[in-house]
Amino acid sequence: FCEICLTNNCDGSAGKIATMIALVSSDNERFEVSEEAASQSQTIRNMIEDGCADGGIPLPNVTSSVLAKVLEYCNKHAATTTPDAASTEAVIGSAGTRAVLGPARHGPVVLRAVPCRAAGRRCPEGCRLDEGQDAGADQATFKIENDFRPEDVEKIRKENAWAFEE
Amino acid sequence: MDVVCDTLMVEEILPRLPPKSLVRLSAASRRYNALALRPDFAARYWQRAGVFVQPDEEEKPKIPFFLTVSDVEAANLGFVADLTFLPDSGLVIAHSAAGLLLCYNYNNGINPTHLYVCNPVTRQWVALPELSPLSSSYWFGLLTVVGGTRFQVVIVTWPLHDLVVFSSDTSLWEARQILLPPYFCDYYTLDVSPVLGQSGTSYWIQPDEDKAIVYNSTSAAHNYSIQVINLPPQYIIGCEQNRCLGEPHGGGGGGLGLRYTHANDSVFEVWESEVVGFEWKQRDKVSIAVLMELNPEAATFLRNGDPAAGSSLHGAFTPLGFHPTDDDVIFVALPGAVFAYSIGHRTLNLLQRTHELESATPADVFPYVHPAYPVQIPPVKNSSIRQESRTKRGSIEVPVNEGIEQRKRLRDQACSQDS
Repeated sequence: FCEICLTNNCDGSAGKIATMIALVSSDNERFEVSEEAASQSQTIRNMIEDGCADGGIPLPNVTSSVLAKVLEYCNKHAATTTPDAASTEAVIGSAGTRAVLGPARHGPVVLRAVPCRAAGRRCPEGCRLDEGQDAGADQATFKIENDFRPEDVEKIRKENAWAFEE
Repeated sequence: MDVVCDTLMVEEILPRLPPKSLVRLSAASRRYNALALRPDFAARYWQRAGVFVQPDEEEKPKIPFFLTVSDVEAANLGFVADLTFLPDSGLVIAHSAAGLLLCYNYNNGINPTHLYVCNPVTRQWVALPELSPLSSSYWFGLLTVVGGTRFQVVIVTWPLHDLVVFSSDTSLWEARQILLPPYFCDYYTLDVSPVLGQSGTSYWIQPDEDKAIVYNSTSAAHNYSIQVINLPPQYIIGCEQNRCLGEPHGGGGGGLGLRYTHANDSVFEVWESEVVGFEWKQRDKVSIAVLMELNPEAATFLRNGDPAAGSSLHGAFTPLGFHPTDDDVIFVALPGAVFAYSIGHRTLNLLQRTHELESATPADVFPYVHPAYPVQIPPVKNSSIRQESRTKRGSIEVPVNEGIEQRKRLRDQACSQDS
């Protein structure tokens, strides 16, 4: 079992003919990566297996600079059979992402998807960004428009008052 | 594009959010609401079914165990008996009902003063007003939720059968008494730890007799009266038996049937009745020897890891409790481990290796079921007890054997304190 890519079949066999997959960042830059490397993300692997990956996989959440760093890590990792966990060159973790929620009020909610070190199936709540991370790494930022009517939001808040205290 | 994002959300991001954040996110837009309400996601995130086992404390409170159908399923759950979200440390479980837990501070065996009602999945909690010293150091608590709008906590001290009752719509502790029929104590004993059901019912299995005493804390009709019911016949009288009662799935309130199991050194039987205490039908009977042959892993525990040990250790096979929703599963303790027994498959599935449950009895077991949506604790009315700050108002004195007048006076007193 591989702690870093979280699979049982982490297989860094060299000499295998690499199938290339294209990942397209939010600013429309195409990155060609080996299928192995891309498959470290469960989501992408599902897409590959379902045959949805032809023509490239769009990742609108991720800018090219972030994606470049992630792929650097994945490529390095896919090639080695014994990942060097202490390697300080591993800047950003692979498939793990953490959603950071801004306070929910009426109006837009900002959701930041931050690549973080894959820390196991459940990311601890207080998970901080990797120390080695580039301070200038971009964060993908979403603005979510609240398309609920005010009375619908009120209904949700009333039904789950405990979640909206404090 | 949306498909990728939705899947990413549901598989990777949403499961990592703490409960409050998830609910707030679902109020942010229709899309997030729909994602959070997706049945597959909601079931994985909120739904739980199993039993809590709160082992006996000796000096310090012990961490409860949560047992479910298999160890694989247990590992997939978002929490494992983690009460650290509660404000006090040293809290233990007293009862479980309707997806909520009643917890109290274990005070080294001195009467508990602080009780909490909490939801371990959503991590919401409510502190009850401080409890005055009880009339006896033996007690248990029964939590019931009525219609989702209010809850009640009944503290029963025994063997003196005094009660202190808290209701969320009065926000007060009030004293009551269980009415016992005359000469009751000559024939029956309440001096054993009762098994507590989610329906707010306590069951005292009578030692050396095929009977149990049943007390339902919610029965308004007879003012908290007591019943005697028959149990299935013991297999061999006098031989040490480990007996266990449980309420079947959906068994909310007495009269909806009961489940019973007992095991001694040679045989393990399971019985069921559709009406509490009447017409027991035997559901299963298996010899311990056969069970051990079918389950060699369990057999090593019964022999305490010593293949040379002859027959099983006396009284070692202990049924602890019934799974609350899957009536094929019974939890069983053996020396050094706890198992999930499947009646249909005759398999003993190892759940955990531990010595902490060796002295556990069915009285320490609390069936727990949480649905696929967050359960809210009914609000405590007129509450000066906020969730975040517990104001010390001093304990409300509740003397035993008080009349109605005195109860009214206490209520007025409490009200004036609030203003």
